[in-house]
Amino acid sequence: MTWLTWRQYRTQILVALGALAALAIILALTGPNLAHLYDVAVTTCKVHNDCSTAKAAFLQNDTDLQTALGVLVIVVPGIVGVFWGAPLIARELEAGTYRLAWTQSVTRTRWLALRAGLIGLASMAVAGLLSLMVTWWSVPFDRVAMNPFGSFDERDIVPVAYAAFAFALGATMGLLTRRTLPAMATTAVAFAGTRLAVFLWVRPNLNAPLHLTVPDTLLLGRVSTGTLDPRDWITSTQTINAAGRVIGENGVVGNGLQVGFGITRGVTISGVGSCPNVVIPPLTGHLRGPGPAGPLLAQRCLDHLGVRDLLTYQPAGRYWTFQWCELAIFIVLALLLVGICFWWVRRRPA
Amino acid sequence: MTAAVETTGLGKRYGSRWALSGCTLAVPTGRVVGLVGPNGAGKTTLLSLVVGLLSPTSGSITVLGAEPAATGRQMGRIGFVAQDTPLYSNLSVADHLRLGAHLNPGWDNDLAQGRLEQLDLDLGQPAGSLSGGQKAQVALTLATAKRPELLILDEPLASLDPLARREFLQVLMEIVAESQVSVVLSSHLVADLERVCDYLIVLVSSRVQVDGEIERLLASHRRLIGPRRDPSTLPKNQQVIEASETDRQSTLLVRTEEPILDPAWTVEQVGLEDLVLAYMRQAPSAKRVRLATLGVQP
Repeated sequence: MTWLTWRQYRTQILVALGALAALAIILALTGPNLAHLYDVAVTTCKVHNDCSTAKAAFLQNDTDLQTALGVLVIVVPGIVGVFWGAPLIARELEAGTYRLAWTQSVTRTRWLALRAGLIGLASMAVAGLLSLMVTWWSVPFDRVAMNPFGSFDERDIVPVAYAAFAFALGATMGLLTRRTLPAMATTAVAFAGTRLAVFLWVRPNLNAPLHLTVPDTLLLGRVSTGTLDPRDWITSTQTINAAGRVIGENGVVGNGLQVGFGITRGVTISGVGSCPNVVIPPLTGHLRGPGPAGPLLAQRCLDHLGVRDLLTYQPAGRYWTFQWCELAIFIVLALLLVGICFWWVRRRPA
Repeated sequence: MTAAVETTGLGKRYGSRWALSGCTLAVPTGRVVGLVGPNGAGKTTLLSLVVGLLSPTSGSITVLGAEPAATGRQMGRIGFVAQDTPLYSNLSVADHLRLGAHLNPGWDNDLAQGRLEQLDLDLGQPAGSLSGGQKAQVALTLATAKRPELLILDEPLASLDPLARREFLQVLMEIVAESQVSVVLSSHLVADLERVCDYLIVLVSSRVQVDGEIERLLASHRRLIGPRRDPSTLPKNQQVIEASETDRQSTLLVRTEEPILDPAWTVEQVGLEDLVLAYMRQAPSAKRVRLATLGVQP
């Protein structure tokens, strides 16, 4: 059975290994240079006392390769699911060769166990090796970018679980559709859908998020993050009024924080309130509209009204907890799907 | 002696459609058994249940005294050539032999090599480029080289041209002669079955219409032609299988173990094909039952 599985998948596995080896060479050639550039940038910026410019400049190195690697780690688990998982059973059903494979001296359960086990492990190994290489190569960038949750899906251990899930999903879709191409298509869609759903609704709540209230400074054109570590993951920014009620989200209050003004009437912020005592001087001459002091005065009004931002965030220290949790979620999903495959192959063949 | 295959009330349902229902039969060992029946009789379903590709919805089945395909060892006792003889089209013939060797502990590589050498096949050729006859031969070799006690062949002749059909049956007869394997062969080509089989089962709508050794079946059936006569007036030991009549003449196909003594009859031997067709026609098809309930003579 091991031989047959190898015989049927050897071309694809060799192609995958070849691609990984080629990538390893590229990364091994460019990686040490990046580490060197990083050391230079960080040590010299301290001397010149202008680290933000130096860091921004450093991030401009190899941007194409950075983007390509990010995309690669995201899509490779899906590709594995589509090209290794979906045909695993579907191709046998479609070509009728299951009648040959399942009438040798090997039970169907054993056939599936070895086949799914070997190719499933190969899928996980490919995604794992890829993630390992990309994570290693990206260390200098990640140190500078200080946004571990921004590249959460492209680093460390979660790609292994994504690959396991995609593979099991492909195998299951193959059983349901009994045709290779529809199985591939549905696998791609279902995999992307599940990943997106977990990213949007599950990951932000994997661990009870923390909250921090900071002054709202949006009218001054900056986002306030108070005392947060820049590596923390801010999952939502809500605007609240003096009573603590949520009046807006992501910097938008009411009709977009329209500031009404008048010489005598003061500042009115729609959806929030008004400050009759804060008067914005209008533009002089024949121009109309609020004068240059407008934003500052409007901001003063917001502070006066007690408008603040409520930040919901996951601290950077939870990064590894989240990696393990998301790994567990996708591994459990994969095991459930594999269970369905075994049940089907035992109970409802052909 | 245990039966090769024994089923009781065996049924298989797909959704609301029964592909096979209430099928009770026994297939003896040491025989080459022909399984005939019209399309839709349930032959393929029955054979798929025998090799364990399907599991029954109802009833029971034992093959060589055990549950089909329950263990690898049990599966090794049964060789199967599926309908249209599926092979991996991108694998070579030699790869198929390796497949057989890796998946069957009882694999006889010399036997497999020898058979394929006889066929004058290029072993490096991908199976997808073989002719229908060659594919069938490779599939038969795979099923035989695992050294089964029971060989099941599902319509192996259906897609073959007459020459390939003859060659296939020739090889099958050699295999039987060499290994004393029990064989069940389904087909709707009675003439071909007659060449290799010594036992016949006629299956119509999941029911066994008639079964037995072909020689005995042929010996116990007669066609009687004579003056018109009501079939119900025949002696009790003569069972009428089929009757047709013109104004003056009756033609009856009867089953009897006794000689026909009535001098009014002209007695003829019955060929196997006519015999099988008579039993197939005799089966109450759905259409006839419906007409009968309406009070219409079919």
